[in-house]
Amino acid sequence: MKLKSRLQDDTLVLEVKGKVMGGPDATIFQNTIKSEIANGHKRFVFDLGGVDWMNSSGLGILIGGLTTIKNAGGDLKLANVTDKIKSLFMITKLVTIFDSYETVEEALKSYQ
Amino acid sequence: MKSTGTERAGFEKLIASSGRGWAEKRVFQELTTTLKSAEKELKSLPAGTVPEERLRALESQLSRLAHLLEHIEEVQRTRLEIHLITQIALSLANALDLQEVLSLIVDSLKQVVDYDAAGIFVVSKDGEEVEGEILRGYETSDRGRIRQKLGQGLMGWAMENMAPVVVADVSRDPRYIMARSSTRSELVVPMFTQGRVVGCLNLESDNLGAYSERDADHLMTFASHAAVAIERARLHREILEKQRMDEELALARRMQRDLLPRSAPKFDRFDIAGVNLPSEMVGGDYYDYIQLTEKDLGIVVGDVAGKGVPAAFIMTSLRAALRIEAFSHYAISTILSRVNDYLCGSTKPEIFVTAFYGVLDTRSGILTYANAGHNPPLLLRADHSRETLSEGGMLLGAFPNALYHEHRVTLAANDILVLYTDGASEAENRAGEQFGVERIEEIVRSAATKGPRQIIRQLLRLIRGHCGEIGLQDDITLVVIQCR
Repeated sequence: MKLKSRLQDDTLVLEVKGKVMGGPDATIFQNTIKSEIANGHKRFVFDLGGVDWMNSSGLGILIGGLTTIKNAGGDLKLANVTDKIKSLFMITKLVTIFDSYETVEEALKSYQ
Repeated sequence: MKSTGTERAGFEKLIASSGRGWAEKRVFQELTTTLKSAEKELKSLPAGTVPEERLRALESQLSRLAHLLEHIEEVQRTRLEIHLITQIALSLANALDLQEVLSLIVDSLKQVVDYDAAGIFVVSKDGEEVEGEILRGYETSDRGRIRQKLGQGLMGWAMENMAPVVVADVSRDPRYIMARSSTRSELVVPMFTQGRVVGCLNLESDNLGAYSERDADHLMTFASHAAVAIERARLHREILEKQRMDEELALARRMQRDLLPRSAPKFDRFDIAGVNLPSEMVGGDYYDYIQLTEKDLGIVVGDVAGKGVPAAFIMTSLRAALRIEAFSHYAISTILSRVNDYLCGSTKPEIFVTAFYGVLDTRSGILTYANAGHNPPLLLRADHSRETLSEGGMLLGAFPNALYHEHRVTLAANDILVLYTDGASEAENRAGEQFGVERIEEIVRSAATKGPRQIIRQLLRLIRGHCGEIGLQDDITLVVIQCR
């Protein structure tokens, strides 16, 4: 898993790439989110377009990210959710929890 | 090249401890005596009796003889040292217990270089912890300060620089940390193998200048053998620890297996079979049959995110919570809500479970269920249509206060319900192709006449065949319910 963050329209856009699995990925992800929250960011967009593969522990990472952001009074939108992740969201009913958009731009617009 | 008194004494001791060289010793004594008496004889000659030129030639020959004697002594000494160290190395070769190895080292050390107090310390791979130690000649009250020496004193220096330290007078070395008041000189040698520090040998003497550079060299050779023996003992210990862990895991596996149904309950209208295959020693998948009443059977299939021991812990909690709630409440929606809240309170949001819970009325064939984010079970109708049972609610353990809705289907004659975990549907082959739900359906239908047990056997055989040499990557659970 690779993470790249940038600030756009006062929102932190986190590009997630590669295979998202449990173990060290979970710690890296959590630490990144926590430090961005500590930097004062509240609005997040996870760009999942570059995710090749995600297992159940990877889903756990997204859930953990959402919970951390919500607990800090922030909000999270997802963008470029791949078909594979969409089907995982459907099965697990996470589709009702995550706010997903086709593109990063649409996700950013939803914050306006 | 003139040997000093201490070195001479050391040599005699070496000969004694090696158990060899008595003949050499006699020859040396004889030669030394003869040489000395010849030197004396030469000096006592009255002046003028022998021409000056002749006298100098004789003196030069005697001096050469003395040098040769020292050279032979040097060669002999090295030979004996090698012999002694080989003997010690051999005795160390058979010891596998770390404490036994240390005890052998500290005792044989005394034959190599004498000491009044000695300590051998084995440090962990990161150098942060002391994994083993043995002490000789220290008072119990000194022991606290010995550890301090290891970190900061001469021992710390020797291990950091991977070089021996000879201190002739400890009172003049600022690195020295006192652990014994009578110590006057000290020799510290690091033990390392394959470029990594294993520990160090620390020798203390009550005499000033007790240790020479030569002793340090000698001890370095000894230390390299000691390091190998210690490393071997450590590896042996790791193997033993791994064995113990494996035994504990095997026990955990048996305990977990005992939590799974031993056999499927029997009913007039239904044939039921189930299987759970963990991909590791223990797993996060499970299934359960809960006999609620004579005719009502609770059926659960669950999958904890992740694998191995952490998932197994959650699985055990889920099973207990679900069983308690299933007997306390009638409504499936209530049962899942309560289990969800319980799991939310016990785990971090990253850890979640997907589960399907249904109650089958085995007389009417009505299945009331709620699916908490689990792979939807396949209801394969006798008319070849397929329904998927996905209604219910959120996966369990991540979001408190989630609501669940229950649904009903009726199982009729020759319908087959297949509950599974993603370990079956998403089992991949080397090319990354998943086994797939379609293939599960196809196999179930083709084996339908043989009953649930055979259906499961066939599914497992084909899933294993699909994975090939890469094997199962995830836990697999299957439950097949066939209506007669």
